[in-house]
Amino acid sequence: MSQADVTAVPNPAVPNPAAPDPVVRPNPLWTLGLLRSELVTTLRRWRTLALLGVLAAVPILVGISVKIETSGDGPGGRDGGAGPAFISQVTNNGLFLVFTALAATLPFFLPMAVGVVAGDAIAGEANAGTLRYLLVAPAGRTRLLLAKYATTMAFCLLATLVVAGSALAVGALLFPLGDLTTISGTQISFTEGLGRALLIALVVAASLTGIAALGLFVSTLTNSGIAAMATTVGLLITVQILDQIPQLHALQPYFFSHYWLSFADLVRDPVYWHDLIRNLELQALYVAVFGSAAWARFTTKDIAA
Amino acid sequence: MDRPSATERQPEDPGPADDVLGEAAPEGAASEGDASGDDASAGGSVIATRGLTKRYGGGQLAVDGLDLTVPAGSVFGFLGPNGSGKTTTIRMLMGLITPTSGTARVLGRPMPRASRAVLPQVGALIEGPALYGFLSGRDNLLRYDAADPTADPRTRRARVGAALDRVGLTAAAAKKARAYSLGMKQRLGLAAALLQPRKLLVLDEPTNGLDPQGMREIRSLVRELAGDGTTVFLSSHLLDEIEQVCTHAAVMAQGRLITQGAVADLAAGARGRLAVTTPDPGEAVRVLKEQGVTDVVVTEDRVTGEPPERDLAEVNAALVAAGVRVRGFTVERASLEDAFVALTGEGFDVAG
Repeated sequence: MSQADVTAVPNPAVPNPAAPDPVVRPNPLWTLGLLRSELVTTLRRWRTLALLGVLAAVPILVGISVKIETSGDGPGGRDGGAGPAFISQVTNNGLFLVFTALAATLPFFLPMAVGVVAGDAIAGEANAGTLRYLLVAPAGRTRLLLAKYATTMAFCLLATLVVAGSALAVGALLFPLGDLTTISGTQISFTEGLGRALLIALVVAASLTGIAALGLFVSTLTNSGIAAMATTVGLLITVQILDQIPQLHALQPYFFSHYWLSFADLVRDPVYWHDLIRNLELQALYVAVFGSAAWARFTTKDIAA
Repeated sequence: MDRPSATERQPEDPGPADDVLGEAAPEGAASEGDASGDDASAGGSVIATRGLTKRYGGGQLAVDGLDLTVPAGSVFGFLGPNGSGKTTTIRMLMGLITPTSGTARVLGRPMPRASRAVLPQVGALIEGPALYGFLSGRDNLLRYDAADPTADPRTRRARVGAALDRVGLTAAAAKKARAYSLGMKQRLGLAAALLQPRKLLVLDEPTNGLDPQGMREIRSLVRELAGDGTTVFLSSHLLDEIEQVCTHAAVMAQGRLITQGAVADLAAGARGRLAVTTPDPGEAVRVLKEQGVTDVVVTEDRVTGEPPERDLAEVNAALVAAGVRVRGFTVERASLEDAFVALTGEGFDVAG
């Protein structure tokens, strides 16, 4: 697979008419063509667009229900008690709908969407048979895997931005905007609040990279796209449930979802970084472990489909 | 049985392959005669495997000690019933499957190690086409071309257009691939194999799903490509297809290579059947058996059998001397199918 092997091969004793032309000097930038193709192809799948549509609809539903619930009373009149974080603040400031929507979608909708895209990445191509044609093109197994993972990461970011963008639009339409009160009780300007919202979106997207790597690894294990998606989403649900069982609290800091909601600490003043850093470290660990496992598996796998 | 003779005959008959080889590999063609060393075969052959073996997880031996040599410039037919290990072999040659043991060299370089250098010069259609149904025919080709890091993106659209044109799909290029008929999918798969100038085309059952007109077109396309000096490795279970387009052939059954060589030699390797037309079949059978004819079969006034080693004129004389009235006395030329049956002792469509 490596360049070093290629140069070691030719047999100088025998003129070799069948040997590849040494003239072929591909531009290193051409290698990015696969990534571009991968991004475009993923976004043209009906399934991807449907997932993004569902994600965009969540803030709309939350926004409208909050509006209906509170329309009779004065602003902030009724505290729902339960419900996603920040929901009671939304009526005061539409910007809070961004935080609410992310808090509502992060436990399930967002990782599910990422799990579907990641799980389908290799297994779906194997299932359709297109994987063998990509590999004989030759895409190169490491290169293809990297393109797939980069695309999945791009999808994590895009999905988060869709939720945040939709929430911001709905929040601006239905509720007043302005300076906002942090969890710590201090006031920050609307512009800074907007900056914090963007930062939160980035942190949420980064929170999804762990399950993206896990999904990609699962995807290299099977030739059925559906099985890989179901397994990834199943793991997601299992981990979420285990994270609620008090007896397992020694293990819980290693669950990829354990620190997910730490993004709320970005709405404190000053920001409480401890859990945020732990979250990013944990995601990096998952990416390293399952990324390596996916690579080890995919580069040695017999492609028989 | 016939294996050594078929292999030995190969160098004597460079045949049509030699014309194509002329400019590409004069020395390679010469060295083909000495098939003993690996180096010689690497020089004149586009595909060379030594003891190539694949055992799947369950212990099932899919390919067993394959020594395959595909001469440069040939149209090489790779024959065998379903389940005989053809596709596993092709997948090993293309670096999709790692052999359990043995080596495979494609374009003189080891596979799968040299995939990145070898595969851009190989066009492949493996086990039928596979397409993205939600993309148009053109977008499918653009994607496959983008997967090749040696493909120039500046010429991508033009090359895709030319490939579509070559397989006659230009009019349907904007249609979603899921709306394609099987024949159109097959053509699009071929177009993907023709995106760049190739030195080797590996076509696994390329005429599957095509109507007779489409099959003729593919055959003439294969001949045209071979005329340009491209080596074509064509797997098929259709014997007449191999006889029509191939210069060389190999036959596999149950994971083993049964024979390989020039097509004319393979057919000649199977002995023709003696056929006697006579109004006295009963008496003819007795005489023929006495003369050493085996496997005698009577159908109305025709008696056929495996001819003996002796001069057939004597057999005829014996028939006449015994008072058998002979209307016709011929040896029917063997087809590749007869050769196959002779080699495997079974019908061609029986799965291994």
